[in-house]
Amino acid sequence: MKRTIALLLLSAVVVTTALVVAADARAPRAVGECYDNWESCRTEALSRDASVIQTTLMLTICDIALGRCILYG
Amino acid sequence: MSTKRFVALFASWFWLLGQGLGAHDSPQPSWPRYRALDIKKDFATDERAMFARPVHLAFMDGRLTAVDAEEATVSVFDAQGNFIVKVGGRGQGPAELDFPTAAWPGADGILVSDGRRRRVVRFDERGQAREAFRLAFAPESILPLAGDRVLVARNPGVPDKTSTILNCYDRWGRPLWARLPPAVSGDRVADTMSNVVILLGGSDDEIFVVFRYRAAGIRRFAADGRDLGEIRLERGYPVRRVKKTVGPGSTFEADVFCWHASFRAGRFYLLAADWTDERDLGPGSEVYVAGTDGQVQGVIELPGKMTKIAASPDLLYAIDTDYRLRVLEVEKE
Repeated sequence: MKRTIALLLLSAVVVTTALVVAADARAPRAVGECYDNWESCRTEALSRDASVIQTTLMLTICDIALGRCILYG
Repeated sequence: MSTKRFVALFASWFWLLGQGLGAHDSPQPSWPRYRALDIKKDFATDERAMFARPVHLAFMDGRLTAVDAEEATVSVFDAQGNFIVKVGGRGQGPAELDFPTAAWPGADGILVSDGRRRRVVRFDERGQAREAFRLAFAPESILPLAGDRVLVARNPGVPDKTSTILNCYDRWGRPLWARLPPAVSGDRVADTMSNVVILLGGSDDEIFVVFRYRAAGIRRFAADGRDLGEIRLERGYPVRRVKKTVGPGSTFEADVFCWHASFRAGRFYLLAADWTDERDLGPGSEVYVAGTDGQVQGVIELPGKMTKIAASPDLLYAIDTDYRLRVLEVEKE
Protein backbone atom coordinates (compact mmCIF):
# COMPACT_ATOMS: atom_id res chain seq x y z
CA MET A 1 0.00 0.00 0.00
CA LYS A 2 2.76 2.38 1.08
CA ARG A 3 4.68 1.58 -2.08
CA THR A 4 1.63 2.29 -4.26
CA ILE A 5 1.02 5.66 -2.58
CA ALA A 6 4.69 6.60 -2.92
CA LEU A 7 4.63 5.64 -6.59
CA LEU A 8 1.46 7.64 -7.16
CA LEU A 9 2.93 10.69 -5.41
CA LEU A 10 6.15 10.40 -7.39
CA SER A 11 4.18 10.13 -10.65
CA ALA A 12 2.16 13.17 -9.70
CA VAL A 13 5.32 15.14 -8.97
CA VAL A 14 6.94 14.09 -12.26
CA VAL A 15 3.85 14.87 -14.34
CA THR A 16 3.40 18.25 -12.62
CA THR A 17 7.07 19.13 -13.11
CA ALA A 18 6.91 18.11 -16.78
CA LEU A 19 3.82 20.19 -17.35
CA VAL A 20 5.27 23.24 -15.59
CA VAL A 21 8.58 22.97 -17.48
CA ALA A 22 6.75 22.54 -20.80
CA ALA A 23 4.51 25.50 -20.04
CA ASP A 24 7.52 27.59 -19.03
CA ALA A 25 9.34 26.67 -22.20
CA ARG A 26 6.36 27.74 -24.30
CA ALA A 27 5.40 30.84 -22.32
CA PRO A 28 8.32 33.20 -23.07
CA ARG A 29 8.04 32.59 -26.82
CA ALA A 30 4.27 33.04 -26.84
CA VAL A 31 4.36 36.17 -24.67
CA GLY A 32 7.24 37.52 -26.74
CA GLU A 33 5.14 37.08 -29.87
CA CYS A 34 2.25 38.85 -28.15
CA TYR A 35 4.48 41.85 -27.43
CA ASP A 36 5.90 41.80 -30.97
CA ASN A 37 2.36 41.90 -32.37
CA TRP A 38 1.47 44.66 -29.92
CA GLU A 39 4.50 46.68 -31.04
CA SER A 40 3.39 46.32 -34.69
CA CYS A 41 -0.15 47.26 -33.72
CA ARG A 42 1.08 50.42 -31.94
CA THR A 43 3.30 51.40 -34.88
CA GLU A 44 0.34 50.90 -37.18
CA ALA A 45 -1.94 53.01 -34.96
CA LEU A 46 0.55 55.85 -34.59
CA SER A 47 1.35 55.94 -38.30
CA ARG A 48 -2.27 56.47 -39.33
CA ASP A 49 -2.18 60.17 -38.53
CA ALA A 50 -5.67 59.86 -37.12
CA SER A 51 -7.06 62.40 -34.67
CA VAL A 52 -6.02 62.10 -31.03
CA ILE A 53 -9.11 60.30 -29.72
CA GLN A 54 -9.13 57.91 -32.68
CA THR A 55 -5.44 57.14 -32.13
CA THR A 56 -6.14 56.52 -28.45
CA LEU A 57 -8.97 54.15 -29.35
CA MET A 58 -6.70 52.25 -31.75
CA LEU A 59 -4.02 51.99 -29.07
CA THR A 60 -6.63 50.75 -26.60
CA ILE A 61 -7.62 48.01 -29.06
CA CYS A 62 -3.94 47.06 -29.37
CA ASP A 63 -3.81 46.88 -25.57
CA ILE A 64 -6.91 44.69 -25.34
CA ALA A 65 -5.48 42.39 -28.04
CA LEU A 66 -2.24 42.16 -26.05
CA GLY A 67 -4.16 41.16 -22.91
CA ARG A 68 -6.13 38.50 -24.80
CA CYS A 69 -2.99 37.19 -26.44
CA ILE A 70 -1.17 36.81 -23.11
CA LEU A 71 -4.16 35.21 -21.41
CA TYR A 72 -5.42 32.92 -24.15
CA GLY A 73 -2.47 32.64 -26.54
CA MET B 1 -21.82 87.20 4.44
CA SER B 2 -19.94 85.07 6.97
CA THR B 3 -16.15 85.15 7.11
CA LYS B 4 -15.97 81.48 6.02
CA ARG B 5 -18.12 82.11 2.94
CA PHE B 6 -16.15 85.23 2.09
CA VAL B 7 -12.84 83.31 2.30
CA ALA B 8 -14.29 80.48 0.16
CA LEU B 9 -15.55 82.96 -2.44
CA PHE B 10 -12.24 84.80 -2.45
CA ALA B 11 -10.28 81.53 -2.84
CA SER B 12 -12.53 80.26 -5.64
CA TRP B 13 -12.18 83.57 -7.47
CA PHE B 14 -8.39 83.24 -7.33
CA TRP B 15 -8.64 79.61 -8.44
CA LEU B 16 -10.76 80.61 -11.43
CA LEU B 17 -8.31 83.37 -12.29
CA GLY B 18 -5.47 80.83 -12.15
CA GLN B 19 -7.38 78.48 -14.44
CA GLY B 20 -7.93 81.27 -16.89
CA LEU B 21 -4.28 82.25 -16.91
CA GLY B 22 -3.17 78.68 -17.34
CA ALA B 23 -5.62 77.90 -20.12
CA HIS B 24 -3.93 76.40 -23.12
CA ASP B 25 -5.76 78.36 -25.78
CA SER B 26 -5.10 81.70 -24.13
CA PRO B 27 -5.31 84.90 -26.21
CA GLN B 28 -2.35 85.31 -28.51
CA PRO B 29 -0.05 88.31 -28.66
CA SER B 30 -0.09 90.12 -31.99
CA TRP B 31 2.59 88.04 -33.64
CA PRO B 32 3.37 88.87 -37.30
CA ARG B 33 1.30 86.77 -39.64
CA TYR B 34 2.46 85.32 -42.94
CA ARG B 35 0.71 83.42 -45.68
CA ALA B 36 2.07 80.37 -47.50
CA LEU B 37 1.15 79.91 -51.15
CA ASP B 38 1.58 76.95 -53.49
CA ILE B 39 4.34 77.43 -56.02
CA LYS B 40 4.23 74.02 -57.64
CA LYS B 41 0.82 73.67 -59.25
CA ASP B 42 1.68 70.55 -61.29
CA PHE B 43 1.77 68.52 -58.06
CA ALA B 44 -2.02 68.45 -58.13
CA THR B 45 -1.86 65.74 -60.81
CA ASP B 46 1.60 64.30 -60.28
CA GLU B 47 1.33 60.81 -58.80
CA ARG B 48 4.92 60.95 -57.59
CA ALA B 49 3.84 63.66 -55.15
CA MET B 50 0.98 61.56 -53.75
CA PHE B 51 1.31 59.08 -50.92
CA ALA B 52 -0.76 56.30 -49.39
CA ARG B 53 0.34 56.83 -45.80
CA PRO B 54 2.95 59.55 -45.30
CA VAL B 55 4.65 59.22 -41.93
CA HIS B 56 7.66 61.50 -42.19
CA LEU B 57 8.84 64.52 -44.17
CA ALA B 58 12.33 65.99 -43.81
CA PHE B 59 14.63 68.47 -45.52
CA MET B 60 18.41 68.42 -45.29
CA ASP B 61 21.37 69.23 -47.56
CA GLY B 62 19.18 70.46 -50.41
CA ARG B 63 17.02 67.33 -50.53
CA LEU B 64 13.53 66.50 -49.31
CA THR B 65 12.42 63.01 -48.30
CA ALA B 66 8.86 61.78 -47.86
CA VAL B 67 8.26 58.39 -46.25
CA ASP B 68 5.26 56.29 -47.29
CA ALA B 69 4.70 53.49 -44.75
CA GLU B 70 1.95 51.85 -46.82
CA GLU B 71 4.08 51.52 -49.95
CA ALA B 72 7.24 51.04 -47.85
CA THR B 73 9.07 53.63 -49.95
CA VAL B 74 10.99 56.86 -49.51
CA SER B 75 10.61 59.50 -52.24
CA VAL B 76 13.41 62.00 -52.73
CA PHE B 77 12.89 65.50 -54.18
CA ASP B 78 15.20 68.44 -54.77
CA ALA B 79 14.77 71.78 -53.00
CA GLN B 80 12.31 73.03 -55.66
CA GLY B 81 10.20 69.91 -55.26
CA ASN B 82 11.38 68.12 -58.42
CA PHE B 83 11.21 64.35 -58.08
CA ILE B 84 14.59 62.60 -58.04
CA VAL B 85 14.19 58.98 -56.99
CA LYS B 86 12.08 56.57 -54.97
CA VAL B 87 13.90 53.99 -52.81
CA GLY B 88 12.71 50.89 -50.97
CA GLY B 89 9.54 48.98 -51.73
CA ARG B 90 8.00 46.28 -49.54
CA GLY B 91 10.06 43.15 -49.09
CA GLN B 92 12.75 41.46 -47.09
CA GLY B 93 15.67 42.12 -49.45
CA PRO B 94 18.61 44.34 -48.49
CA ALA B 95 17.26 47.33 -50.46
CA GLU B 96 13.65 46.71 -49.44
CA LEU B 97 11.68 47.97 -46.49
CA ASP B 98 8.76 46.62 -44.49
CA PHE B 99 7.45 49.58 -42.53
CA PRO B 100 9.63 52.69 -42.82
CA THR B 101 9.05 55.18 -40.02
CA ALA B 102 11.44 58.04 -40.86
CA ALA B 103 14.07 59.10 -43.39
CA TRP B 104 16.64 61.88 -43.76
CA PRO B 105 18.49 62.88 -46.90
CA GLY B 106 22.14 63.79 -46.64
CA ALA B 107 25.39 64.11 -48.51
CA ASP B 108 26.16 60.53 -47.55
CA GLY B 109 22.90 59.01 -48.83
CA ILE B 110 19.41 58.54 -47.46
CA LEU B 111 19.09 57.24 -43.92
CA VAL B 112 15.91 55.24 -43.26
CA SER B 113 14.51 53.55 -40.14
CA ASP B 114 12.46 50.41 -40.75
CA GLY B 115 10.05 49.77 -37.87
CA ARG B 116 9.05 46.17 -38.59
CA ARG B 117 12.46 44.94 -39.65
CA ARG B 118 14.03 46.75 -36.69
CA ARG B 119 16.92 48.19 -38.64
CA VAL B 120 18.48 51.37 -39.96
CA VAL B 121 19.46 51.39 -43.65
CA ARG B 122 21.53 53.84 -45.65
CA PHE B 123 20.62 54.05 -49.33
CA ASP B 124 22.62 55.73 -52.07
CA GLU B 125 20.83 58.05 -54.50
CA ARG B 126 20.29 55.20 -56.98
CA GLY B 127 18.25 53.30 -54.42
CA GLN B 128 20.91 50.73 -53.51
CA ALA B 129 21.26 49.83 -49.84
CA ARG B 130 24.83 50.64 -48.91
CA GLU B 131 24.85 49.61 -45.29
CA ALA B 132 22.47 48.68 -42.50
CA PHE B 133 22.44 47.73 -38.87
CA ARG B 134 19.91 45.93 -36.76
CA LEU B 135 18.27 47.11 -33.55
CA ALA B 136 16.76 45.28 -30.59
CA PHE B 137 13.59 47.38 -30.87
CA ALA B 138 11.34 48.94 -33.49
CA PRO B 139 12.73 52.38 -34.32
CA GLU B 140 10.11 55.13 -34.17
CA SER B 141 12.28 57.80 -35.72
CA ILE B 142 15.88 58.65 -36.57
CA LEU B 143 18.15 61.65 -36.93
CA PRO B 144 21.57 61.67 -38.58
CA LEU B 145 24.27 63.33 -36.47
CA ALA B 146 27.73 64.56 -37.36
CA GLY B 147 30.48 61.97 -37.52
CA ASP B 148 28.20 59.37 -39.15
CA ARG B 149 26.35 58.82 -35.91
CA VAL B 150 22.67 57.99 -35.90
CA LEU B 151 20.16 58.90 -33.23
CA VAL B 152 17.29 56.43 -32.98
CA ALA B 153 14.09 57.14 -31.05
CA ARG B 154 12.29 54.32 -29.32
CA ASN B 155 8.80 54.31 -27.92
CA PRO B 156 9.19 51.53 -25.37
CA GLY B 157 6.14 49.35 -25.03
CA VAL B 158 6.95 47.95 -21.64
CA PRO B 159 9.53 50.28 -20.13
CA ASP B 160 12.12 48.77 -17.85
CA LYS B 161 15.05 50.33 -16.02
CA THR B 162 17.21 50.28 -19.13
CA SER B 163 14.82 51.54 -21.81
CA THR B 164 15.44 55.02 -23.14
CA ILE B 165 13.78 57.13 -25.82
CA LEU B 166 17.07 58.40 -27.29
CA ASN B 167 19.64 55.86 -28.45
CA CYS B 168 22.77 56.94 -30.31
CA TYR B 169 24.83 54.58 -32.51
CA ASP B 170 27.86 54.83 -34.72
CA ARG B 171 27.46 54.02 -38.43
CA TRP B 172 28.01 50.30 -37.77
CA GLY B 173 25.29 50.15 -35.14
CA ARG B 174 27.52 50.13 -32.07
CA PRO B 175 25.77 51.89 -29.18
CA LEU B 176 27.36 55.17 -28.09
CA TRP B 177 24.95 56.61 -25.55
CA ALA B 178 21.35 56.33 -24.40
CA ARG B 179 19.28 59.03 -22.69
CA LEU B 180 15.81 60.15 -21.74
CA PRO B 181 13.80 57.64 -19.76
CA PRO B 182 10.24 57.25 -21.05
CA ALA B 183 7.10 58.29 -19.21
CA VAL B 184 5.85 55.40 -17.09
CA SER B 185 2.44 55.65 -15.47
CA GLY B 186 1.17 52.11 -15.76
CA ASP B 187 -1.36 53.16 -18.39
CA ARG B 188 0.17 51.75 -21.56
CA VAL B 189 -1.97 53.83 -23.91
CA ALA B 190 -1.21 57.11 -22.14
CA ASP B 191 2.47 56.19 -21.94
CA THR B 192 2.63 55.35 -25.63
CA MET B 193 1.15 58.75 -26.48
CA SER B 194 3.44 60.59 -24.03
CA ASN B 195 6.52 59.01 -25.53
CA VAL B 196 5.83 59.92 -29.17
CA VAL B 197 8.64 62.20 -30.32
CA ILE B 198 9.81 64.09 -33.38
CA LEU B 199 13.59 64.30 -33.66
CA LEU B 200 15.03 67.52 -35.04
CA GLY B 201 18.63 68.45 -35.58
CA GLY B 202 19.81 71.90 -34.80
CA SER B 203 22.89 73.89 -35.60
CA ASP B 204 26.11 73.01 -33.72
CA ASP B 205 24.88 69.43 -33.74
CA GLU B 206 22.29 70.06 -31.06
CA ILE B 207 19.37 67.68 -30.82
CA PHE B 208 15.80 68.78 -30.22
CA VAL B 209 13.25 66.27 -29.05
CA VAL B 210 9.67 67.41 -29.63
CA PHE B 211 7.03 65.54 -27.64
CA ARG B 212 3.81 65.64 -29.63
CA TYR B 213 1.56 64.86 -26.68
CA ARG B 214 3.15 66.70 -23.78
CA ALA B 215 2.43 70.28 -22.78
CA ALA B 216 6.10 71.10 -22.28
CA GLY B 217 7.00 69.91 -25.73
CA ILE B 218 10.69 70.50 -26.47
CA ARG B 219 13.81 69.07 -24.82
CA ARG B 220 17.29 69.99 -25.92
CA PHE B 221 20.34 67.70 -25.91
CA ALA B 222 23.97 68.10 -26.88
CA ALA B 223 25.41 65.79 -29.53
CA ASP B 224 27.12 63.76 -26.79
CA GLY B 225 23.80 63.20 -25.05
CA ARG B 226 24.02 65.86 -22.35
CA ASP B 227 20.58 67.09 -21.35
CA LEU B 228 20.48 70.86 -21.96
CA GLY B 229 17.03 71.34 -20.52
CA GLU B 230 13.59 72.22 -21.68
CA ILE B 231 12.51 74.91 -24.13
CA ARG B 232 9.34 76.63 -22.96
CA LEU B 233 7.25 78.27 -25.63
CA GLU B 234 6.03 81.81 -25.10
CA ARG B 235 2.55 82.18 -23.59
CA GLY B 236 -0.08 82.18 -26.26
CA TYR B 237 1.40 79.28 -28.21
CA PRO B 238 -1.56 76.94 -28.61
CA VAL B 239 -0.91 73.73 -26.70
CA ARG B 240 -4.37 72.25 -27.03
CA ARG B 241 -6.05 69.84 -24.69
CA VAL B 242 -8.52 67.25 -25.86
CA LYS B 243 -10.91 65.79 -23.31
CA LYS B 244 -13.36 62.97 -23.81
CA THR B 245 -15.57 60.89 -21.54
CA VAL B 246 -14.61 57.30 -22.24
CA GLY B 247 -16.77 55.52 -19.70
CA PRO B 248 -18.79 56.04 -16.56
CA GLY B 249 -16.76 58.47 -14.47
CA SER B 250 -13.74 58.07 -16.71
CA THR B 251 -12.31 60.88 -18.80
CA PHE B 252 -9.44 60.79 -21.25
CA GLU B 253 -7.29 63.92 -21.50
CA ALA B 254 -4.30 64.66 -23.67
CA ASP B 255 -2.23 67.76 -24.33
CA VAL B 256 -1.21 68.16 -27.94
CA PHE B 257 1.91 70.26 -28.30
CA CYS B 258 2.00 70.11 -32.09
CA TRP B 259 0.91 67.91 -34.95
CA HIS B 260 4.29 67.96 -36.64
CA ALA B 261 7.47 70.05 -36.53
CA SER B 262 10.58 71.06 -38.40
CA PHE B 263 13.75 73.00 -37.53
CA ARG B 264 15.74 75.23 -39.85
CA ALA B 265 18.34 77.98 -39.29
CA GLY B 266 17.75 78.32 -35.56
CA ARG B 267 13.96 78.32 -35.81
CA PHE B 268 11.30 75.79 -34.95
CA TYR B 269 8.37 75.42 -37.32
CA LEU B 270 5.55 73.99 -35.24
CA LEU B 271 2.40 72.83 -36.98
CA ALA B 272 -0.30 73.40 -34.36
CA ALA B 273 -3.04 70.79 -34.03
CA ASP B 274 -6.47 71.98 -35.02
CA TRP B 275 -9.97 71.06 -33.86
CA THR B 276 -11.98 68.60 -35.90
CA ASP B 277 -15.77 68.67 -36.28
CA GLU B 278 -15.99 66.01 -33.52
CA ARG B 279 -14.13 68.22 -31.00
CA ASP B 280 -11.08 66.06 -31.46
CA LEU B 281 -7.63 67.29 -32.46
CA GLY B 282 -6.03 66.61 -35.83
CA PRO B 283 -3.95 68.17 -38.61
CA GLY B 284 -3.60 71.94 -38.53
CA SER B 285 -3.32 74.91 -40.86
CA GLU B 286 -1.06 77.23 -38.83
CA VAL B 287 2.69 77.00 -38.38
CA TYR B 288 4.20 78.83 -35.41
CA VAL B 289 7.78 79.93 -35.96
CA ALA B 290 9.77 80.11 -32.72
CA GLY B 291 13.39 80.62 -31.77
CA THR B 292 15.38 78.34 -29.51
CA ASP B 293 14.62 80.81 -26.71
CA GLY B 294 10.95 79.87 -27.01
CA GLN B 295 9.88 83.26 -28.34
CA VAL B 296 7.32 83.07 -31.13
CA GLN B 297 8.46 85.11 -34.13
CA GLY B 298 5.44 84.72 -36.36
CA VAL B 299 2.57 82.59 -37.56
CA ILE B 300 2.31 81.14 -41.08
CA GLU B 301 -1.15 80.42 -42.43
CA LEU B 302 -1.14 77.40 -44.70
CA PRO B 303 -3.51 76.90 -47.64
CA GLY B 304 -5.43 74.14 -45.83
CA LYS B 305 -4.88 71.54 -43.15
CA MET B 306 -1.57 69.72 -43.30
CA THR B 307 -0.30 66.56 -41.61
CA LYS B 308 3.47 66.96 -42.06
CA ILE B 309 5.80 69.89 -42.64
CA ALA B 310 9.47 70.50 -43.41
CA ALA B 311 11.29 73.80 -43.79
CA SER B 312 14.18 74.70 -46.08
CA PRO B 313 16.02 78.05 -46.09
CA ASP B 314 13.64 79.41 -48.74
CA LEU B 315 10.53 77.26 -48.82
CA LEU B 316 8.10 75.31 -46.73
CA TYR B 317 7.02 71.80 -47.71
CA ALA B 318 3.87 70.14 -46.43
CA ILE B 319 1.74 67.06 -46.95
CA ASP B 320 -1.95 67.87 -46.93
CA THR B 321 -4.83 65.76 -45.63
CA ASP B 322 -5.26 64.22 -49.12
CA TYR B 323 -1.67 63.04 -48.68
CA ARG B 324 -0.33 65.22 -51.47
CA LEU B 325 3.01 67.02 -51.27
CA ARG B 326 2.81 70.80 -51.42
CA VAL B 327 5.68 73.23 -52.02
CA LEU B 328 4.92 76.58 -50.40
CA GLU B 329 6.42 80.03 -50.47
CA VAL B 330 5.88 82.25 -47.47
CA GLU B 331 4.90 85.89 -47.89
CA LYS B 332 3.99 88.50 -45.30
CA GLU B 333 0.36 89.45 -45.20
